[in-house]
Amino acid sequence: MNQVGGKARSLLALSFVLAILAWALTLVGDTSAVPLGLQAELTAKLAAHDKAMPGRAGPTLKVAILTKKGNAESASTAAHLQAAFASLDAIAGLPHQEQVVAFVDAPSLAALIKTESLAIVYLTQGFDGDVDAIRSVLDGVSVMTCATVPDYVARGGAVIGFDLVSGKSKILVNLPQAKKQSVNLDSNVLTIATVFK
Amino acid sequence: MKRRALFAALAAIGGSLTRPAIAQEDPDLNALLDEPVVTTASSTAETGTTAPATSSTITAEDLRRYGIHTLGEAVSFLALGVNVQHTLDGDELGARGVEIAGDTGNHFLLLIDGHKVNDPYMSSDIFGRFSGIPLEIVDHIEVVLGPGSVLYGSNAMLGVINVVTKRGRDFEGAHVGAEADVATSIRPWVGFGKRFRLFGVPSEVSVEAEYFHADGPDFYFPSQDAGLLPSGQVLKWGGAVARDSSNADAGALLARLTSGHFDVTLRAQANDSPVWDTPADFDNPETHGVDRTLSAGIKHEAQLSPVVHIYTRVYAAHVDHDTVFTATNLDTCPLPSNQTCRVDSRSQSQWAGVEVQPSFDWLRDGRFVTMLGIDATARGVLGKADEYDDATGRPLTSSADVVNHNDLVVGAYGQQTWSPTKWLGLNGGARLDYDERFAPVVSPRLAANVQPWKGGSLKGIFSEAFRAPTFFESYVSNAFLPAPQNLQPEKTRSIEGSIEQQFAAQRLLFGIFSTTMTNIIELYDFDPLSAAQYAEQHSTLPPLYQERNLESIDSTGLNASFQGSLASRKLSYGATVTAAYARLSTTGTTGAIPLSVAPRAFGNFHVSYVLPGDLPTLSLAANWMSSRYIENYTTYAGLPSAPPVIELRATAIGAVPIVPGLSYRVSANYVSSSETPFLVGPALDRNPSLEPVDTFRVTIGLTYEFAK
Repeated sequence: MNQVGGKARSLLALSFVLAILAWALTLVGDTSAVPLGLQAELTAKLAAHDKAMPGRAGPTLKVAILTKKGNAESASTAAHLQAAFASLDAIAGLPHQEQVVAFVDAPSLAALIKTESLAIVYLTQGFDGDVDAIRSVLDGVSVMTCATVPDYVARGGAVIGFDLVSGKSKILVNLPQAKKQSVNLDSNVLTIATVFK
Repeated sequence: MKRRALFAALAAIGGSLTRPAIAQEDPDLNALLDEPVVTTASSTAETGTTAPATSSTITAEDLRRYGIHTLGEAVSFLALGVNVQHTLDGDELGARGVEIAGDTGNHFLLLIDGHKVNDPYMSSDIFGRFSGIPLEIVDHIEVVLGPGSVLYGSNAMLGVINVVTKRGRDFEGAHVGAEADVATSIRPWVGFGKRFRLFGVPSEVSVEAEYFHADGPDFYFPSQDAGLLPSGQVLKWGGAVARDSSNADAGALLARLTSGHFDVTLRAQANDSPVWDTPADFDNPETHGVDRTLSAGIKHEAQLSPVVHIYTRVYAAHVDHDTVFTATNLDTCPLPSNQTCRVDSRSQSQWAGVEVQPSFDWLRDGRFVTMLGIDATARGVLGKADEYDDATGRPLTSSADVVNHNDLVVGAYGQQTWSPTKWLGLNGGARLDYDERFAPVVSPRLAANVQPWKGGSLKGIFSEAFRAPTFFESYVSNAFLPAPQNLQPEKTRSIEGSIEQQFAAQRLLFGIFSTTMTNIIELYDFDPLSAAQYAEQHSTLPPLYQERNLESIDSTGLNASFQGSLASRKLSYGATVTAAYARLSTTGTTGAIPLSVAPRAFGNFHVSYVLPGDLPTLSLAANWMSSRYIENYTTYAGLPSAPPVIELRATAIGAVPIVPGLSYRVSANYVSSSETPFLVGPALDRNPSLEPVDTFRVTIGLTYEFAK
């Protein structure tokens, strides 16, 4: 009664081989499952609730989407986000520009934010090893940082992120980092967000 | 004291509804956060508004807040378009006016984290109390209505239900709990969730184990004739309370591990419960069924380039059933008709497979994506039935109903999505399934969604699906049940359209549908003449039954839902309604008739309010059904039906004061009718008895969460 068909055994062996091959292709990261188009819409709504945004953005709100060199997932996410932001009529009531930027290092990022007057910087995947440096270097830099990886928000590498809980989007906010980066969100946003203190 | 507490609660409700902070809410932001994200309809995370199907999402909070204990209850109280009826052998599911009596939900495909649960041998209760799916670890349930074989193959006739379990971070810490239906059952459980690094990779684990013991309720069954003994005395069935009518023991373990891009789900369950769908003697304690399941599934995702993404899934499962019953006057029992046979029917199903699904994002922005997939499953099934003299334990015959069969089923599919503009989305695809028992089956789907104005969405969907015969239907045969000849898969075709409008946090959906099901497999009941003809043609004994593609169903109707929230989501509510005109045609007969057991109209509603501070969250949920013709109603005078029924459930949840980490859930459940439309017992006197249901019960539960 307990025999398994020869075909089943062969297929199971094949499955494990494929799984091992797939393991070799693993790219470390724990990406939010919130669709990127929805993330862009949520980011635009949250930007309108940042009281510091009008002063930070100027006449045109600039969004930079950071990619990690050699990370295909990061490149794909960035392209999707760029298209999603581009499809929005306005962000925080302002016209906007979005660009994909290849990440070099944290100090270069801080310099870029200042020289380009970037209002929103979006981290894609692949920054697991850079999050701590980014958090440190952006202390005192006025910019709304967002991340597609929820863990980056918990670690302070981004002020805002999104997670999918029970099939619905949840806003994540790192409050200490928000204060350091002059992101001043309405209290009613904080009441519906998961806030890291 | 009670009056003072009531006033305090009412004042709290009034105060929070009128608080000025409400005016500061951003309704558009709330609407985005309330937008369900579904992955089941197209194997891609997308909003429910744009998904190529009508779907409902039931959250973990819903499950707790509305006192839900089973998958069947979850969809019955909270989903659109699905009706559930509780029977002694498990939950029966129907959708949009169609319900097949005795299929225990097998015209739905059930997935856990995307892995198939339905076993190939025979249908078993996968939605009811003994199905072994602990609900505390469930993150959400996606209920996708309509044919879904385009991505999932067999069984997705009426819909696909995908149970998504929690990740470690959403179940963090240790949890213990116990819940009891007062005087009838108890269910202790433990759970654990943790985030950690595995070889430097961010990882999470969540696990829950539960044990369920029921000792009732004990139902009274009216007396029925069960045949004549040689003495001329009439053998009686029923006429007493069955002491073993709901007794059961069940255990289950469900675990999920995510590490990087790997996602592993493990499940084990076993239950020992009474069986009623056999010709057994009344209330014999030897009559019972044991089901066991062990399954594992691994998913992996990798982005190979900005264009190419690959999803791989490997899976394996073992399911076995063992049904034992005792019967006097059993047709197949070779003993004298006043003696008792014991029948032991066993089966094992094992399957393992791999699914590889590459997708190509040609424009690199998600607007034009081609998905291809191949899913190969090797299956092995063993089954047999043995008869014994119940008095001596002596085997009476060689094993019957023997099935020993291995096969390989392969499905290949493709799906193209295209969003030429922001307000238009198109989805087209098809799947080809190969199964050696019948010609390859093609299951296409075409869907379009349009967002012509703010908050508005229009959808049109054409889809087809199939259900392969179970191995039991295909291969079980004996002297009275000859093997089927050229048994074909059941098929369904559906066209539906819907309009959805969102007003801030309120959503209103209205849809119409037309569904046709063909080749439905039923037991053909030979009359004496046709049995004699069959015996002559095939040189066999006159048979009693044969599995055949006998029936077809047409169902046309409408469904609607409304859900929303107010007062910073403290007040949540929703309602659904489905009405269908469904007709069944049987091969060899003229005219179409209403379906048995299926309600023509049904729906549900729910409302809950989160009281401030330490006060509880209160909720009321209900599901209702119109009258239903009883099973086999055409064979009884007067075309009997079961009356309309409403099931009401009031629940209170909250934190226990003084003890941090301890919370409670108390619910009371009332059913307005004590009878289902399902027959029970031999009913040889042509006086049908209907299966009873528990009309009132109170459930009390406590949960303790250890400090993280």
